[in-house]
Amino acid sequence: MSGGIARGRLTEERKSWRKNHPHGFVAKPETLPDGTVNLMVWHCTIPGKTGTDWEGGYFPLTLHFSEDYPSKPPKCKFPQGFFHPNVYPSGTVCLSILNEDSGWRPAITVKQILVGIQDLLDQPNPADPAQTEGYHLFIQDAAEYKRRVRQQAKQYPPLL
Amino acid sequence: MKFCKTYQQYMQGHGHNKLPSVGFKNLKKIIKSCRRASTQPTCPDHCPVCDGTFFPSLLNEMSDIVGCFNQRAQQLLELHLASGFRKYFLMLKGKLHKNHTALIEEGKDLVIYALINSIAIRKILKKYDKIHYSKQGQLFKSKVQTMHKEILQSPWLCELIALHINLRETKSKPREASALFDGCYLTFTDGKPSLTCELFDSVKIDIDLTCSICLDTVFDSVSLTCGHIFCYTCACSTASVTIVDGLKAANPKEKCPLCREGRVYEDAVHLEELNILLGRSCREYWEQRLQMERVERVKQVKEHWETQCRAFMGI
Repeated sequence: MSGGIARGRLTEERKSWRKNHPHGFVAKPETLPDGTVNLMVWHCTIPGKTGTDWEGGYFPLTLHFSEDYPSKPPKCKFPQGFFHPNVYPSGTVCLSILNEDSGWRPAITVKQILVGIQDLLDQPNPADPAQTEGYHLFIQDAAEYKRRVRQQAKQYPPLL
Repeated sequence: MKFCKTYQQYMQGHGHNKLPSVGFKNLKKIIKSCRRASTQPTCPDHCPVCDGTFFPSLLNEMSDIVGCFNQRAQQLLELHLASGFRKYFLMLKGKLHKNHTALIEEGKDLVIYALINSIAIRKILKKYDKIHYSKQGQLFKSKVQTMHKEILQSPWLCELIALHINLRETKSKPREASALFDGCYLTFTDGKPSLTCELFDSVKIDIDLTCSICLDTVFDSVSLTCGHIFCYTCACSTASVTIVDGLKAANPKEKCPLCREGRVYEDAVHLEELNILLGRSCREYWEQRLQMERVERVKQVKEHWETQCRAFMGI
């Protein structure tokens, strides 16, 4: 209905995140060249879970919020060509809680989205494939899939 | 003392025998007869005794309890919130004879009535599951919630708790609290408000007063028929209606933002007492939100009339 609700909600999300957020994660609204903050686009970093093949990687993710947020979920995008069975070639994440028609609820916070995506990294959903390469390797060649995941984790070291 | 006894004593001792209640003894008998009828250690999925007697009996009792509670709570709140001509009319009808303390007492009694019945229902369903080694009781409970027969879902419960706090804070102290009742409070945890109500035996309910759409304290709050509370503007936004059209205009297909249940907007209840309570407890925030809402409402009203005029003129 109105962008006022979206911006108000995102302001609260920002406050809540700064007060308390999971270790290793980063989430901040985009800063435009003129120094103003654009609350509708957030640049985030998701750390690979400890004890998994994703460990050591810090994966960049962009959240695009519409004026209809939180009635509609944000669009979550990894860099183009990101290797994962549930990530489209464009980088868009395919996850039930980000689907307006299935699992999305306005009560879901940015924190929950990022933790949900971190869980998805090591627990792909083969019932909902989004890219051919990642899906086939995950199903048919576990060793090669593991190798590709570790290789990708090295491509995204922590930003100092 | 066993809960069954406490419950029966309460229902009789408070003159509540006129009010609908859970037939504890009768329901226990049904469970026992089912146990005898079934030779298996667990009750089968389709048990004639349970499907035909236990659950329908309990459902009828729950419907009566919720119906009675909602009706009485509504009447009480109407008496308290009446003003102007309505107040005068109620005086003439002789309904407004209750004094302040009587209002507090009746409100408190209704809150206890709701809570003690919700405990009774929970206990009997627990007993059912324990005896049958099943989860049918839990399934029945969630089915009942979608039918809006769960008393804790009632928007009037939240309103009564708010009324109790409002009356207690504004006027003289009422007489000693009942042995069953430890009272109602508005509590703040990390700046987030919730209504807390405690009953005997450390039974406690917490009603979260943070709107899950704007993540702020609910402002001009409404309760949808599923029992979830939101700011009025936030609810209108998720129902895809303007503030001018209101929630009655919402498409029946629109779902609750929390439980995704349909048909929850048309009978939404404006929580007047809760608004009074929050307005008094969070003055600064309330003023700030009031200013913001005013701007938003004026904008939407302007847009509404512009489209109406265009439609009228055929532009």
